[in-house]
Amino acid sequence: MSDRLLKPAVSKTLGWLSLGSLIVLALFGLWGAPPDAVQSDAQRLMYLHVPAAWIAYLAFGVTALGSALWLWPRTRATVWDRVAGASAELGVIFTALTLVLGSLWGRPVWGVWWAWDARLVTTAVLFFLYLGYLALRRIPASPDARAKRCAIAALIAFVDVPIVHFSVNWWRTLHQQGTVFNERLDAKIHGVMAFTLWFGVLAFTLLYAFLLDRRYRLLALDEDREEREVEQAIAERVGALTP
Amino acid sequence: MNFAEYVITGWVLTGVVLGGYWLWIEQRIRRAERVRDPE
Amino acid sequence: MNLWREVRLVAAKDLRIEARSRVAIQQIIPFGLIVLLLFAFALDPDRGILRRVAPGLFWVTVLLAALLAVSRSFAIEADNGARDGLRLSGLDGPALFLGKAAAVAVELLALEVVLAATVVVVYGIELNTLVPLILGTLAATVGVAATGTLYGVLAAGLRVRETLVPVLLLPVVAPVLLGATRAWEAAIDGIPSDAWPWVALLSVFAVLFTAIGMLAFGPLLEEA
Repeated sequence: MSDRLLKPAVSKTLGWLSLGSLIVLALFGLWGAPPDAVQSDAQRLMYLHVPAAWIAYLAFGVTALGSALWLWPRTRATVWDRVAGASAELGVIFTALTLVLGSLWGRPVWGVWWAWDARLVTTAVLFFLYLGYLALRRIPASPDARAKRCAIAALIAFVDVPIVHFSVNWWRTLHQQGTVFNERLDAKIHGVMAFTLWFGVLAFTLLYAFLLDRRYRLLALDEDREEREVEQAIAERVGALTP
Repeated sequence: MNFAEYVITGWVLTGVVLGGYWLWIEQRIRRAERVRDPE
Repeated sequence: MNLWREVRLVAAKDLRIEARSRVAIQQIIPFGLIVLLLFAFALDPDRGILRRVAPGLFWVTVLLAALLAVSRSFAIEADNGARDGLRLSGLDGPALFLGKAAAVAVELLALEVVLAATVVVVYGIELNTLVPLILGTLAATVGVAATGTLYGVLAAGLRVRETLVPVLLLPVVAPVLLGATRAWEAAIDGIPSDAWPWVALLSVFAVLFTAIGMLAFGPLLEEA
């Protein structure tokens, strides 16, 4: 059945697990982990920014995977198109969060709201690639036509991201700007801070899986309803025509 | 703004966005299921 | 019919339509020139900024004009069931793609020649070291034409095509803007041999998106 991903009981459990792990993350991130030697408390935003970025890319990958599975005739199934669509919306949200949190982190530490660093720029491009995908998804069409268009668009975008990253990275290293920025992002962290960071990735992954399941459910309900409305409209038309 | 304000803003914003998004989904699901089930 | 004959057929068709309607000559090229002019208003020619950023402005203008060229490429298929005609013509997806992309590329190249001459005269730059410059420009143009044609067919039947294609296309071709601008800067103002890595990047992009276009055009046309 393509109308849900997880059984309700599993979904609920996942939801509680996510919430629990996010609370633990907050405890560690805001209190348990020590302030950084250089950045002091601003460091605490890293525990959200980095996991958000990971999940944004994960969501993007899932959208690409779902798109590929739908396009491949032998694995084509409604579920993959819906997974792609649901994951894309999550991806936009996490990408936007990544960018905003990055700004909030960068301002107190480096004095700037934005920097032309390869990772940030690539994330910004990723945001716009997704946004275009969502715009494409909203256009009414037969489910198969829309799925095909969206799947191809998602794969084009997926192929483009490494090219963007590579070219921007190259560009920025040639200009040697923002090296301090880069250094701090790559700074080795240890102990409780490292644990909190990894735990953050775990918590966000659980949350992503849970939200994916719920968003999928909503998508399935909406698309099924649309299909019924179209069938109904056709039936009424036919009924009006036949004597 | 001092450091703490940036940190609090970031964490609260994240909570609000993700929590709000989840609530939005649940609300829409409930509405969609209600519309569907009276059949 | 073999592939190249089909490609020439399609490209010739599009270019013949252009020769008769003169949309690129009378509308798209002037658009490019106007944008270059507007940049001069925005950036105050007296402060030497224009000269320094001329390559970037050139390529931004080319990209914006490419949006129009791609839009036009599919607008000509919109009337009289022309898209159905393409589908029923028995021509291969790859051939249709290459033909239409080639026509767009030719139009863009013509535009680029005009804009380059204008930039040299009006912004005051000199086009030294032509070889990397020309090769980079060719690769960038192929890349933009291919990607544009791909998104053009993706959005072909849609009413929102004209506002959708820019939103889809521009983020994807950002590396082309980056590479082409850096290649021009290296060739003109910097160390010309620095341009070659960027030319390589542009070539990879062009080949990749031409390949994707050849694969995806047929299936997308079916749904248009």
